[in-house]
Parts: sequence; C-alpha cells; structure tokens
Amino acid sequence: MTRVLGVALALLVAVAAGSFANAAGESGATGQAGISLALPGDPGNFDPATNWLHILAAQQFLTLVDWDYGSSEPIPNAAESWTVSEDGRTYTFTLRSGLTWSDGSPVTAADFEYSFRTIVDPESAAPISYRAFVIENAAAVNAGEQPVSALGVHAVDDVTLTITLTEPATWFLSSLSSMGHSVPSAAREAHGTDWVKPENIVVNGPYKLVEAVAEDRYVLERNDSYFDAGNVDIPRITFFVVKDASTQLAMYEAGELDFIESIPPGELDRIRDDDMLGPEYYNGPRFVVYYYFFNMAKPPFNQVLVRKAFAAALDKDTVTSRITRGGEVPATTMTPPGSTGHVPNETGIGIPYDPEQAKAWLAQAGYPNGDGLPEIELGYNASQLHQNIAQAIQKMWQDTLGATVSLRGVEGRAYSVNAAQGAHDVWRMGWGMDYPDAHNIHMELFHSSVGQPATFKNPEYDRIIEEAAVASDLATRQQLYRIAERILVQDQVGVIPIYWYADNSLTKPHVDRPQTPQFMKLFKDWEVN
Amino acid sequence: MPALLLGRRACRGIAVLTYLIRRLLWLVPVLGVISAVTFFLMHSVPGNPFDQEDKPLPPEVIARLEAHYHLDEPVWRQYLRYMGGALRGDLGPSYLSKDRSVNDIIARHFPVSFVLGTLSLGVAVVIGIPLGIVSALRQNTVADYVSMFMAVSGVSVPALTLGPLLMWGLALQLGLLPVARWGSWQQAVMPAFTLGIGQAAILARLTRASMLQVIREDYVRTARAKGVSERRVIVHHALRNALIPVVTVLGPLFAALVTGSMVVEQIFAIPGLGDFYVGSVGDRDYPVIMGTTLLYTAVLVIANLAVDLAYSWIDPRIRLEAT
Repeated sequence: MTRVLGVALALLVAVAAGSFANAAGESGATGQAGISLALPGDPGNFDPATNWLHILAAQQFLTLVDWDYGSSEPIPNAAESWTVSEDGRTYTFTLRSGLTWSDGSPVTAADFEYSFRTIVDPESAAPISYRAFVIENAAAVNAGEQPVSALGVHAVDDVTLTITLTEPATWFLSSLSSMGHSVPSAAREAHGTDWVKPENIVVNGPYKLVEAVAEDRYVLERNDSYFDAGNVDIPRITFFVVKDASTQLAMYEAGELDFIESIPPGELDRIRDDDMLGPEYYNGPRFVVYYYFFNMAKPPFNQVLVRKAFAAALDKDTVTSRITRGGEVPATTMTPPGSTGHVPNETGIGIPYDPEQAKAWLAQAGYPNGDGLPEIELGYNASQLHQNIAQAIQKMWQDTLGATVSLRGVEGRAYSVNAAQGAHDVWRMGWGMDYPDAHNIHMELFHSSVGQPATFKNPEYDRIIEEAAVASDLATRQQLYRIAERILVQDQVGVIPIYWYADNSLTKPHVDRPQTPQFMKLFKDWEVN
Repeated sequence: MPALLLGRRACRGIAVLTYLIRRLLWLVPVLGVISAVTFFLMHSVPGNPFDQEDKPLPPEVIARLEAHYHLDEPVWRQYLRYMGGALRGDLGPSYLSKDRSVNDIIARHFPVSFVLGTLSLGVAVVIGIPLGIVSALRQNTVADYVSMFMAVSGVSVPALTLGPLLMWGLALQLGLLPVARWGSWQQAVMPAFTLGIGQAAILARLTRASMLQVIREDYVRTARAKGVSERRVIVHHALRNALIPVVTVLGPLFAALVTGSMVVEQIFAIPGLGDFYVGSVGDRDYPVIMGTTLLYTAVLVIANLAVDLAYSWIDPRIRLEAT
C-alpha cells in the first residue's frame, strides 16, 4: 500500500509540475515593457471573419476604415481613400500602398474580398453573417443559393476594392469600422481554424499574438510590419483571463494588472473616495442601452395609453442612482450617446417620470387606480442586477398604478427563446451597438421586417428609418432619427428605454489612454509613461 | 509451504484482477445510460448555442447554423452521430470555441483541476481526520468543543466567502501570496485551502461520530483489558474500523474535487475544468456538456472502485468478491 501511495504521490507531483509549467507566465507586467490587462472570459476562436469581433482581433487585423468618435466621420485605415457612386450603392476603396502582412507578403484588395466572402460563406457558419446582408447577394450566398463569387465585393486590382450594396446605406462606412477585418487567406486555408494560434497567425494590424494559453493568458506584441508601427508606443500587452470582477480588482490593487473595466458595483463608492484609486477611476458612456419591451399583441399593452402610463410610472433616476450606481445615464430615447443619430434627453423626446400623468393615462385607458388591470408578468434574464431592477420597477408600478406585477427570471438562453416568442407581458432586453449609428438599433430591433409579431410595428416609423438609412446629409439623418425616436418611445411607446450603460474602469497612472468613448479599445492609441 | 503461500497470493491477485475487470466493464453500460439521459435532457432544454444573450440572431441565420452542426436532425440521430464519434475517442468540437475540441479542453484543463482537487483533498484529510479523532478521544472537553467549532465554521463559511477573505488577508494585506492565477505552488495555496477547508469540516464530523461509536465496541475494551498500549488501541484497532465510513465519503468527494470547482477556479482565475461544467450548460455547448459529464461519471466510478479496494485493505473481512 505504501508503494501505491508513493507512486500516486509521484504521479501527482508530475501532473502538478506539468500543469504549473503549462500555465506559468509572468504574473503582471507592471514595471516591465508593456501592460497587463484582464479578459473577463476566454476569447475562444477570435477569427474576425467568423466570430463576433473580439478585442484581440481588433488589435491585429485592419479594417478598411476606422471611426472618429469626435466628428462622427469615417477615417482612413487600410483604405486611404474611397468614393461613393451617384446611386449610393457602390463604394470604391483605394488601399494604402505598401501595406504588408507580418509574413512579408503584401496586403491586397483580394485579401478584403476573401474576408467578406468568408463572412457570408455558409461553410464558415459565421453567426455574424447577417451583418453583411446589406452587400449585394450576401443573403443569397449565405443561404447557399449563389456561389461566394456572386458577392458584391470585388478586387479590381491590388489596391482597388469595390463593394456594391443592395440599396444605398449611409451607415455602411460606420459599420465597416467593426466588420470586414482583413484575414490572411493563405494562413487561413493552410491551417483551418488553427490559423489563429501564435505559431500560425499572420496579421497586418498594430499587434500580433505571440502566446496563447487557453483560459489563462494571451500575449500581444507590437507588429513591426504595421504601416504606422512607429507610433505604437506599448510594445507588449498581456491579457490574463480573470472572470471574477472582484479578483480583477484585487489583482489591480496588488499591482498585477494595469487596467480593468469590470468593477464590482459594490466597490464603486470605495474607489471614488479612495485617495489612490479615486484619480485612477474613469466613468464614461458605453454604446449599450437597457430597455423593456411590451407585448403589444394582447391586453393591457395593446393600448397605447397603458404603455404610456407604465413608462411614466418608471423612475429611471432611482434605478441608476439607487440600484445600478455605476454612473449609468437614465435614457428617454434608445440610441446611446456618441452614436450618429443619438437623440439627447434634453430634446424632451420620450416620456419623463410623472406619476400623476401616469395615473391619468391609466384611468383614461379604462383602468382607474389599476382596477381591472390584469396581472402583469415582467420577464428578465436571470441575474442579480436584472432582478434588483425588476423588483424596483415592480414596486414603482404597484405603488403608482396599482398594478399587480409578477416577476419571472429565466436562465439566459431559455430567456432568448421566451423573448423571441413574446412569452411575457413586459420583458427586459439590452442592446450593445455593433457600430455607432442609430441604424443599428432602429433597423435591427424595431423595423416591421424583424422581431416577433407581438412587438412594436409601425409603417410610418418604418418609412422614416428607411429614409434615414439612405439620406446622405448628416443633419437630415439626425432629424429623421428624432422623428423615429418620438414615434418609438413617446407616441407609440413600443419600448421603455431605461438607461445607457457606463464604462467604469481603473487605469494605473503610468498608462495614458484616450478618455473618449470608444466602441472597441485600440491599444495603438495608448501610451506608457 | 512457500509454494502454497505463493499460490494463495496468486489466487488473491487473480481475484482482485477479475474484480477490477468486472467493475471496469460495468463502466461501459453506466456511461451508455448516463450519456443517453444527459443527451436527451440537454436537448429538451430551450435555447441554442448561437444566440448572444441580448442579441438573438435572425431566425434564418440560426437555422443555417443548426443545419451546419446537424442540430436540425432528430435528437436520436444526433445521439447516434455523437456516440459514433465518442466511441472512436472523438468527443466533438466546442461550438463556442471553434478551434478547440472537447478532447483538447479536457486534456488541457482536467490536469489543473486534478492537481487542485487532490491538493484540497489532502488539506481535507490532513486537517479533518486528526481533528475528528482528537474530538472523539477528548469528547466533551475543550479540545472537542474547539475542534467541532472549527468544523462547523468550516462547513458554514462557503468558498465564495472564504476565498476572497483569504485573498484580502494573505495577498493584499500581508503580501505573502500572489492574488490569483495558476503557475506556482504559491498560487495553489489559497485555492487548495478554500476548497479543502469545507471538506475537512465534513470529514472531521464524520470521523468523530464514527470514532465515538468504535471506541465503545467490545473488542476495543478487550484490547485495553489485555494491556495493549492506548496508541496501538487507537491506531490499529479503533481508527482502522472508524475509517470505513470516512473512506466511503472520500470516493465521491475525490470525484467532485478533481473534476473542478467553478467557484474556486473563478475566484482564483485558475484555468481548470470547473467552469466548463456550468458554463457549457448556460451556453448550450452540447459537446462540452457531454464530454464533462462523461468524464465526471468515469472519475466517479473509478473513485468508487478505489474505495471498494480500500475497504478490503482496511478490513480484510470485507471480500472483494462479495462487494
């Protein structure tokens, strides 16, 4: 028996040594040449042609254009210039000369053609394929009805790429800042899904993956073949996979991380008041909105007055100041600040908190003091935060309107099915923008052609957002989105916007980062002192 | 006479081997039943692996993805397809991490959980069993009360509380250990204790109860009456028998600990397998659900087999053939 125990112990030591060796890495880059950050989960496969854009991919692969959040204008990236045809359907991009992949081969228009084809190729099974459906024949290619060569993306020569759309789309350039990243065809074809591993990867962006240990760490190093490598200050970025926000904060306080953006809400007050952490704390807007849908197919929310009453009885300030407490901004409209087509609260559009008006509307609808109002089921995807918010709103509606509200928290994926079927009377949703343009919210959530029958549908609204999608003048678009928001959140109250999410982060003093809101953080713009 | 001894040993060896083979063969139908039940259960739960939580994909895109992964086929056919691969040793791809197979996930993360689980089991045994013995031998004394207070505290304080508490004290305040992650023995200390302390408390209470019963047995009294030293009475006569129920618990405990703990692995950012058990269900990553479930089943069956073997070592009256 002693011999058996001895062998077992030796085996354990060997396995331990193996697991330690496999996972061992530097325990933080503070003070070293680079910075250390936390990833809240393992990225899995981050191939940008087949997956949702991941922060690792955004640092490594060039898009055609980038986005200037200050001016709300596209700016050159791989493409140094572009023109749009008179009918607004064909975009012609001219690539910078001298762009190269990290293996020394040139970046050509054919690489972008390949990337767009990969996104819609049914063989790729890419969940993001629908984002390219505005490109001519993309939906048919994705459905297997046409070959990938039929896609409206063509490399005219090495530096000229044309993209033809199904219809004019002013927002298209904005969407290209987060879609259509160029991927290396040779590496991809040679290595299959393993092409994103450090030993196989070929990049053309500011950084290149040099080490990847699944569920543990990912290390990027500056890519010297990037066209603007001379202006990339931080030579090395280490991402540690740390799923727990409290652990991220502890590692940050111990100096093992230089930047975190997952802060437990309960710690925010301490951080703000702390002499050392306070100055390192940043709070700014994020491109995400928190809102409630109505089931408009059955009583009582088939009546607009009832929807108005419930919207006016919801005190959003209380939600953000007493529950979320992370600097979130109460929202009366849908599109988050920083996006083209955002309609600020100051415009007065939307329904403000007004308990008396809420009672009056409910009485006009035939439910004075809530008499005769059926029980309302409020659904949310089960999480502590959503539950806390739902409980607060349940009380607001009960106290103000006399409504009986039951709560139903449902596990995430099952909740998606419930939401898609309109299984609740009111239900919680959130939307993170794919690109900073109001089109992304209005067309993909509320146009009559999408969503399920129980939710908001309005022909006038459809007409306006279709017009906004093709209007070339920014002021005209802004005006159209104001009208659209008024119909959506004020006149018809298809949804109740509740708040825009906040970016809460901590950055060590030796790291300089842009303080403007960014759709996706790009570390080429960061510096280390 | 030596030839006869050799013959007995050989006979016993053959008996143990036969027993082992029979028990291991039972693993096949057990895995078959578990795999079928798990497969049909997980497919009966609504939801698909492709939706983002807040962003349901267009139905036509979901339909194409389901067709790509054969999820549009009848469930029984999917099961046969899965088992065909599993029998060849291929547990399939992870839907969420397209470049990783389930085999790869288990190969990479199971050793981490195994080491952490074994260390925490070591903590549980080294602390729990002596605590239980002392408590039983000094029943109704200060030592008993202190030991049981520690045991109740260990059971009452969950890992979710103990982990951050240790992190705050030992890493942030005293700077004795790294905050988190996996890669050195220092990084293993806090998670092993966090995971092991609660189990130590369970073992302590179990050992105490069992020991209290055994030390009142006639054979222990007889041993004492014959003048056997107290140490020998406790170690050779009482403890050995008192350990039977403790060892019974150690089997499932070992299986639970070495296959990963989501809570502790998340708190200490350890790249183990624990998160995959819960995460794969939430993500509807069907092949990962199946792979981790089958792994857990196999480890549990093997751990119970080890327990049965240990019975016959602790108490030779227990014959393997009879169990």
